[in-house]
Amino acid sequence: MAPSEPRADAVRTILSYYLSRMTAQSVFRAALHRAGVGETAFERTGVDDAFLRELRRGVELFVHDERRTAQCMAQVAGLAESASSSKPGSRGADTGVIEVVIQDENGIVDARTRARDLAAQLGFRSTDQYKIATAVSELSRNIFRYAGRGKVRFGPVTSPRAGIFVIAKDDGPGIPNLPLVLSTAYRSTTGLGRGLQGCKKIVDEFDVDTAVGKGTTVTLRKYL
Amino acid sequence: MARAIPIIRLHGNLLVSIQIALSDRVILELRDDIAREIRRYEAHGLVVEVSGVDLFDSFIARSIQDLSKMAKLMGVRTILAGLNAGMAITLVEMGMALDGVETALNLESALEMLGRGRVARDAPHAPDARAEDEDLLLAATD
Repeated sequence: MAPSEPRADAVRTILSYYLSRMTAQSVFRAALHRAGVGETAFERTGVDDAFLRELRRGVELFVHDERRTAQCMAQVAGLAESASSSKPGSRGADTGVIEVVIQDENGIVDARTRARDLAAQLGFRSTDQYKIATAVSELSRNIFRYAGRGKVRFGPVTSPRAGIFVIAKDDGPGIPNLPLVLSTAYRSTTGLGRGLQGCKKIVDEFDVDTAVGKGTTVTLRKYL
Repeated sequence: MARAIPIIRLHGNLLVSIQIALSDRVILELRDDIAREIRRYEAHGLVVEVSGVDLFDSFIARSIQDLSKMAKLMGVRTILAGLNAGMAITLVEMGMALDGVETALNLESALEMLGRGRVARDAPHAPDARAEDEDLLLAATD
């Protein structure tokens, strides 16, 4: 990875949005110290779980606002994601993008459990963690029931605001009449159509791309 | 069959405490098991305690609703206990209000609800009888 923008500076820049420059510097140093990483080593290892945990402690001390703390932490966690995508095999996987293959019922539970863990890690409050996990559960189940097989991907977003994205993709039969399925009048025999409607109501952005015979991709976002 | 979720018999009621992430198959098996146990033990009430469930999505909500309808047809009152705030808010916002399902904050109040129901059924005239006694007493002192 090109050291054009050192990782330490990137973290300090994010922190300085939330804290004074002096405080940002000491919070950063303390987190490094408690995570047992030197500043030089940090350029190599980058943002990992231990560092995030320690950093959160420091940020919480000085930012007396749960939402702003969460936002700040999500942005720092986002650094791990961008680093891991450009560097295969890096340790960013825990805070980066997760992909779960849905081909049986266990996949549904696996996907929603991991989505909830990620949401917690990104700083979503408990209610929103449930909403995100529930949305992932609905989408995974639709894949399993209607397409038989597909993938659910989720990970952090940083712009326009910190949050999480979820993409559920399958190559199944597609949804023949999407407006009807998304209208409140619709009730499928299995109750699954209601799941898609419900999903839309508990997230901030929701988009369905589908065509008969060409599969379905549902994209959603929820912000902190 | 090895049951993933035990169904406990308690004072004529059945108690099911779900402490795992519910897969679709498990909840359907649970429904069948409960139906069998209701018949076998001639239960009066059923408490489904869900504080340990990972979440409540549309399928789980619908399954619980169906479960309660099924129990009602068998003459059994079902109480869903232990839904936490996050699950409740998510359900309401998704538009799945679990219509027709009685709920209780926790296991204790659920059992209390069923207990009171039973006392009332066993001795329906007890409170009235006492009131009559009091009336007599008042009349006597007059």
